[in-house]
Amino acid sequence: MLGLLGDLGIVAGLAGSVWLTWRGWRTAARPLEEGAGLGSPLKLMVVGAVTAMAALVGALLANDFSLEYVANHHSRSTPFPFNVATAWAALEGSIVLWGVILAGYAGATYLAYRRNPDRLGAGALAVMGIIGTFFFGLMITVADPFRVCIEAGAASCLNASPWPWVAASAPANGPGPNPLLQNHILMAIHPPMLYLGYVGLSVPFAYAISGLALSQSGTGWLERSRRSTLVAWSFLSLGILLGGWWAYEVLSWGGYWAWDPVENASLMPWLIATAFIHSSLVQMRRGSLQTWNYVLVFTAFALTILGTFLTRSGTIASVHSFTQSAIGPVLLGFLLVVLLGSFGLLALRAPQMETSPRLESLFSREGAFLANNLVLAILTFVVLSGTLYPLVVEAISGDQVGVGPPFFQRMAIPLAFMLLGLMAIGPLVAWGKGDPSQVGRKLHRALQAALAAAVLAMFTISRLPAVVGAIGAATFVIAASLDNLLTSAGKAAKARDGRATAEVGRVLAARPGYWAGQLSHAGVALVAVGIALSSSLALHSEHRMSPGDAVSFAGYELHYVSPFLRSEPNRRVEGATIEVTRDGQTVTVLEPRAGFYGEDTTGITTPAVHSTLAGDLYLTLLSIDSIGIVLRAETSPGIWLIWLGGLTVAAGGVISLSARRRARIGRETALV
Amino acid sequence: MSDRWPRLLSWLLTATLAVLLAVGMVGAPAGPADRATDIGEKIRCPVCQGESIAASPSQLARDMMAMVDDLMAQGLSDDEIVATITAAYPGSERLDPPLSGPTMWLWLLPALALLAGGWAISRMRRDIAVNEPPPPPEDSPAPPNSNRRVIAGAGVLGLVFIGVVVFLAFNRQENPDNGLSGIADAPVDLSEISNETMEAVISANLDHPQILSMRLALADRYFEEGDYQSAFPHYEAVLTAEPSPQLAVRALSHLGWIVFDGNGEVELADSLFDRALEAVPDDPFTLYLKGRVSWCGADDPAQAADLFSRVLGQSGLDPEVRQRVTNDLTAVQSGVTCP
Repeated sequence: MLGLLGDLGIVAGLAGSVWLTWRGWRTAARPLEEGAGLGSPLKLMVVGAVTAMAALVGALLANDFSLEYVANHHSRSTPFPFNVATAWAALEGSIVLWGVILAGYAGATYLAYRRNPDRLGAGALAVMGIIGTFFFGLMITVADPFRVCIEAGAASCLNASPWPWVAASAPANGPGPNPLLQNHILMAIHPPMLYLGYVGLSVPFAYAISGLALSQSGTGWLERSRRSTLVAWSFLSLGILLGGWWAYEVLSWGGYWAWDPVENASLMPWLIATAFIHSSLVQMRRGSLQTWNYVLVFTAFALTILGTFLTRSGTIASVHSFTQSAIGPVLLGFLLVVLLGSFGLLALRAPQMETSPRLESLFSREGAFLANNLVLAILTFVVLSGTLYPLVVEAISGDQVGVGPPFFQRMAIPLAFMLLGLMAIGPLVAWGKGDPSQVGRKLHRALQAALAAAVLAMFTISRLPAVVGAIGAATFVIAASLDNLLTSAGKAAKARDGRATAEVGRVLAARPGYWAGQLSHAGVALVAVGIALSSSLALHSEHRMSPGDAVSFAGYELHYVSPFLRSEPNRRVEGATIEVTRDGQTVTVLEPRAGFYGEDTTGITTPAVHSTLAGDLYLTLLSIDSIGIVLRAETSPGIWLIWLGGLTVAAGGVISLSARRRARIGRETALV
Repeated sequence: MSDRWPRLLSWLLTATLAVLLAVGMVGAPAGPADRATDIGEKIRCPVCQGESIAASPSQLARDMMAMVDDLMAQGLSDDEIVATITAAYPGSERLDPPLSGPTMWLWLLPALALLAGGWAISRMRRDIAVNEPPPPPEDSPAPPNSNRRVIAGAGVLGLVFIGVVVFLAFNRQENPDNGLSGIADAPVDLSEISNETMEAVISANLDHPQILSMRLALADRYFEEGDYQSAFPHYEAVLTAEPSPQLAVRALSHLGWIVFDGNGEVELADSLFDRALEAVPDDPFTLYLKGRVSWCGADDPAQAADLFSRVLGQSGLDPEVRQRVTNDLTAVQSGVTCP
């Protein structure tokens, strides 16, 4: 019943997408009177997508094991919210999620179009219809989430049929989702965040294609899609952050980023989207970089498809490759179509495009943005080549080569320092032609602060170059921006005879977008410090302990009190109770543990973390048996700076959105 | 005049801080002084998914880290340790591609791209210096090739990237020893590795090109322990994987002995030995085993004596082996029944 409803939803979504493509294209080619005719297909697409997702969630909640997806990825004992999250934990469901989010962004694009119905917007909706057609097409072919189980196994479905009317044979229960996915609440949130980011990048892509296809040059497509770009970028930032956080809390290796191919797949669109957010400003302000902006937006969207391909095709060994299916070649084909189609169109239109005005001076805001774009593009190139190189070698010669963290780190660290430097200097340089001596004067105090912070760090924290350098550079970024803010407020106060503190708010409100960007920069600086501290200053050791034993580690005493065993609905948990004391005072009691799901005997180890401002104490249970335990103890100094910084980065994106909204409302009321 | 002094003082402060920082950083350690972790981070754990052995909490990764400690104690260099361990454990590739050989471009291309990009950006400025005064932004007529130049540049970069990757991939095929020739040839001491560990590595890397030699090493170890039941499936797996003659002969001869010694199947054993000798004619180990089977199983001392003599006719035999075969030959010629 729910399966039939879901199938109907998918068919409706597909029909809506095709219809939207057709109507959108017709409207773009021959403008109708008032943009009529796009609402109905769009509504059909949205209703279809939501129905499909609701049917899938409903089937999971109702334990409807007659559906193959439920039978193979769900179990009666899967607790809330993981039973709902299972709806996007496996391949087919994640494609449905993609469809729902795409329909949502298409809806938002349509609302914007209704306010301002024009050919550009109609064309963009047509492009989103094409993307929708592809994804809903996946759902009725290679990634059908509502296949009916026709041969039930003991706790899974062995054979399934795509036809909803065949007689179902449901197993009594299923294996449940991948244990790693039901171990932490973050896993329920991280994928939707990431998808909100990925799919959101389809909006600027759609506008760019529409603008090119209609031979509309200018910045219309940038202005119209900037909101979506910022939304997508903020979600992508948040998604990446949550992924790192999840890895840290769940994967028990004390790290948050492994340069795993799938992590890289989410980082690359973020890097390119970040470059695009900056370079699109150059085009909107100065008219330059037209072609480059198209290149960035096409690359960003293509990278999201590549990311989906890497995650979902099972091509690479990674903690993320949970699924293997025939969807790989199809996604690869779509990637090729996207690349050839978009770049081909760009090449076709290039002769008609106005030339970008050249730079007046390299020492200018646009010059800094260009440099930032260059560094971000190179960083993306490093990540891309490092990720794909082993794949290509293995595909061609069968050899296995490894490109891992040491390579990425060595490449990324110098580039990251370049970015930090640009972040400090760039925002202070004027558009057009900057005045180096004036910028130097503005930066002098920030430079002093950076040097002082570096010296202080050298004496109090560590003399490791990574630590001293990161603290110095981060202070430079934050101090330059703060100094700029306070100086501006001071000047304003002098001019109006007001108080400087009161003027700070006014200065911020005068250019909310700029200051939101500065907030994101400060977030990146914090992340840099967090990375440097946690990776350079971490301590770790391993201890074999029996109940009653105690060891000293990093200023703590760790007492192994006793083992414990708990039965939970979906798993059996074995662990050790560790009392943590410092100077004789009990600090906390930690329970590093291993969870055993279903018949699985290997177990998923879950670390226990004690967080303080100085850093985390991170305990992992390496083994537990009748004699005792092997405990790995680690410290992660300053790791909270990464979480705080990541949130700050995303917050900058969100604030700049609300700033744009206020600005628009302001303009509209001014017009009245 | 009045604001000169504060500025001078301010610069003095900056200079002092800079000098302090420079002096303080002289002789600072370059990185955290944990050599074992550094090395471990360069080796992929063969049974985990993409983690290094320093990061993974799995038992195998910890065994391998213990091996790193041992090799460090033996005074090997970092590169030697990485090479030794990656050679011993199939599936444990090094995670930092060397700045030489086929992976050199992985390092150099980004640097070259940075230079090329910087050059392109500086060109954007120079063009304007030639075309002074700057054209007003919106309504400038287009020199037709400038946009194309960007696209062509992007296209060329993409093609170069693809070309280099393809080239490197083929280049690697001709050079399958991973650029570690010399070190990889060094005898790898598998004795440190437990049977369970080998089983884990094998089952996690079934398709790995070097997994057959580990299978054989493990099977030989079971064979010597007399655990024919565990050895059998590994020899069988080697044979089904279309091995090289050298590997095939080892698997076939051992299998022959297993079916004879374990199940008393003389004919099957004999046919396996014949297959082995087809792969490598005059393989001394196979000839010897075949002789033993002729002597003890087929009751054909004449053939046994013939086979033993063929073994002894070969040069380069281990003296101990020569002695043993000579003893057996004497025994079979003097009509003694097989021991």
